[in-house]
Amino acid sequence: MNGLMTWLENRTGIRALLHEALYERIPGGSRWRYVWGSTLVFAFFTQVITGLFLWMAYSPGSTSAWESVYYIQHEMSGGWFLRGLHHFMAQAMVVLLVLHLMQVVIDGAYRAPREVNFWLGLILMMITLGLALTGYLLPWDQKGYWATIVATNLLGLGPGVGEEAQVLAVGGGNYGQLTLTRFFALHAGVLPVLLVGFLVLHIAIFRKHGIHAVKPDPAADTTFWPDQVLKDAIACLAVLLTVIFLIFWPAISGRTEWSDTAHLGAEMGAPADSSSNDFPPRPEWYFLFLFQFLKLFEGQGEFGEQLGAIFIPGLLMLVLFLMPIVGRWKLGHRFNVLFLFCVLGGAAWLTYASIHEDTLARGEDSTKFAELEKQIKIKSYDKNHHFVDAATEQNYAANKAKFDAYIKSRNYLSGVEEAEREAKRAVQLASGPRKIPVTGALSLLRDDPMTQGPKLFKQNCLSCHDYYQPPQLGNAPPPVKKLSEEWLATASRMLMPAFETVEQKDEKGNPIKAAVVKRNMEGEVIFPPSGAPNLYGFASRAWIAGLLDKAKISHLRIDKLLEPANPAVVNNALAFLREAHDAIYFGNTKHKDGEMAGYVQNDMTLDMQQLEQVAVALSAEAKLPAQQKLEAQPKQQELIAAGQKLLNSSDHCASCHHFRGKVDWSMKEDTYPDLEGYGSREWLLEFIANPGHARFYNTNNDRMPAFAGDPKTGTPGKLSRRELELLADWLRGDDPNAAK
Amino acid sequence: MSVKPPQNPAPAKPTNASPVTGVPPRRNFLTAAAAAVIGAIVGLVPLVSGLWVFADPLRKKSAAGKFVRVAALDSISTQPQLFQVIADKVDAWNLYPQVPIGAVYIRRLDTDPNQFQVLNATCPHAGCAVSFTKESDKFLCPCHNSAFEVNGETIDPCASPRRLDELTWKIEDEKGQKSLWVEFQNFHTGREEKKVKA
Repeated sequence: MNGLMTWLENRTGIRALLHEALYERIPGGSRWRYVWGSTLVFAFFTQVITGLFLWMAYSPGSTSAWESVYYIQHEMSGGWFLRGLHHFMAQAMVVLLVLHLMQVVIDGAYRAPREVNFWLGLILMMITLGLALTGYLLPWDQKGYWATIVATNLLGLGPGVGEEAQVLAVGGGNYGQLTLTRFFALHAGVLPVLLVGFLVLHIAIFRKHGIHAVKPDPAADTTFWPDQVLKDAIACLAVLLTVIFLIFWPAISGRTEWSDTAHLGAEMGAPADSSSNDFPPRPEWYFLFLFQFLKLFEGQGEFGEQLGAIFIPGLLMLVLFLMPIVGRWKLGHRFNVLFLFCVLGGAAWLTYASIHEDTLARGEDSTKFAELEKQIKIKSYDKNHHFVDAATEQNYAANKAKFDAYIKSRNYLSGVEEAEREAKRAVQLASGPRKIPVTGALSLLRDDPMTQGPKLFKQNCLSCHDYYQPPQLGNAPPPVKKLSEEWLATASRMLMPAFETVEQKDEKGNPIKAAVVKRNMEGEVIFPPSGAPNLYGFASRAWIAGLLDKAKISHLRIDKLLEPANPAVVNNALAFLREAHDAIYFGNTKHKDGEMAGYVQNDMTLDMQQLEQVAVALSAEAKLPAQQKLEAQPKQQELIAAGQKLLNSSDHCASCHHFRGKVDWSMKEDTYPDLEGYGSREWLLEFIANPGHARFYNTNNDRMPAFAGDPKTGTPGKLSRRELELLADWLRGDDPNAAK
Repeated sequence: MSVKPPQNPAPAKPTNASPVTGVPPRRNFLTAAAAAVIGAIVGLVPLVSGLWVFADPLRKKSAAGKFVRVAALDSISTQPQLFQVIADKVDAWNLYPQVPIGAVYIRRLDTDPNQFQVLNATCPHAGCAVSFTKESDKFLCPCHNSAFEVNGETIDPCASPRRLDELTWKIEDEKGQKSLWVEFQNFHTGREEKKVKA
């Protein structure tokens, strides 16, 4: 051993090197406050090691980045831990940077002869932040993608060559392959090399000047090894344990199971989608203060944005750089410390403000704003409307801003929830038997009825149809919408009364024409229907049983929004604004008083058992995936057979509806929808394609448009065939990824 | 506050105690040991977790050989013919449906028209693709000097340590159309033993 050491020593001078590295003098003894620099070096080397191993499985490309990160996180054993280390150590590094900077500034360690080293430290800080920014994009998930778009757009604001700089960073006008390859080269090549270079200089100069001891203790001097090394090692261990604690946090906090390791460590969003319009982009938490800071300059034009995004942050950096010079003056050091605390305090406050703004709706009682929401609805009907009493008007004016903030936060939170749902779904699809196609994981989501169905419904159906689990009938308040349900349910609709023009006489007895609210024979105000059936659980047994329930088929509950204040405004439409609730079936449609409703309410002669049989048999026509197991049971088969007889009986359903047998639809003149295959995929597709087709409502269709194009004339439809399929599959709960 | 030059220059005393602090060697040793152990731990955690993930492919189980339809029975003659094996291919996170995953040589036996021989078209020496040459009635490898008989046996001197790899086959009847199905597998090259690749 000794011989080998001597051999090596003669050729390399390693002993002197080691001695130089380890036996650096520490005046006044080792101290805990000197550990920050070492923890940063440790954090950086952890990043280098974990980063290199991640690199061995990572593939930068717009259809392979998310996919390879998914593979690391979910399919490679231990990948979640490695990724977690890299992810949280990056965040720890930012925190340690701030601590190191604080220690240096408070101790005045930036002053002569250490100015250059202080500047080198600031450069290292900027490189580290650059690493954080570029690394955030690499998983190519929604979070990284949108945050990078915002960040690079701000870069584009820069004066002079801002736009060119942006194009160079992004690799063109669009975000894609070249953005990833460039960011990856920056993240894994350029920036680490720069960082190592500056780090070598930083440490070399630090060694030259020695540690900056503030008040040399009466304690004896010591050397770096082993006293300070032990303290440094313990600090590094504490950093590492914190990072490991964060990796396991989802399990510690009970959000996931301990065994579900793929959901520990770093988060993973859904694959980046440039077409998504409901994702709320936010930078990583350590850049939130800049994000919030920029809000202060909203509405102040391009210069305002430049000021908030570039000039002021740039100015703050400049002051940091000038600290060694400012520190020469008597009060300079105090100014520097004060400045640093102000900046850090401001950043902390902005971070808090940003989080608070985003999450203030969480746990907020939504009924608190119910009254205000009503008033805003009314106002949206008539911009010039003034509320009847001054108190209401005042309340509106005073709380509108609060309400807006609440709504903004609610939208943010539901956007986050939606994003989480999509992220979960993407993983579910990617780990399914079809794995990921070459076109990438995003194409899995785009072709997934469970993801696209609700979106298509929202865009095309929700303006008339509801989609929520129906509440009990009666005067129950509308269903309490939890945040998680808000993405779809609309449990209430505005109703405007119908008007008619009548001949009246004015005060002098001259005939005039006046618009008055239309009333029925009983003097009740008539409200034209405004909403179609709730499609939650369409064609299921419960849904059909409800349709055949005389209490439910035409049920409609209307709530008053505003009391008419005095009889003079009795014909003011706004005074009669109503809100419809609980119109689960035909209550809010023209069919409310139609033949089917009349039949169910007055003429149906089926007893309870027969009703059940009919509901079960008709629902079986749909072949809903959720009911397939149940329907296969022999007892259920009997029930279905009995129901089919009733459906086919000319004394019951078949007296109007077609149920079995061939039909030439072009000869059909009646308006009774076909019951054969009711609610099945084929039936539903054709129905949505054209509800006014002879097979369905024929001429009795109540306002539902045909969603498919006309192949004969070549007119494009509102929805493509594939979109119709996605919508129908989702409505039927037909998940192609479910085990069959 | 002005900056002072480092104080207390190191006293160069020849002693067992620390050259600077004069701390007794025992305490120094404990500190050094603790520093070394903790330092090793914090350094090893990222390294080991990285190596562990790096070694993941070693832990992935090989998929059991699956029978794949390769050729219609009546298209197979007594001369070795090259057929592509088309099947779903899993490449890490991607699945490529129905793509060529390899090639085989199939021939009908002269002795019994109901018997077949299926050979993996990969040379067992270094993994190049062998080709059958009608003129010499041999399989020749384009890389090194490997040559094989029609039945796959090596022709000495041969670079390949073993004969061409034979694959299991079966006949399936689909609506009167008979076809040959092959259990397609690749094997480690360069060794005498025929060992299935993961």
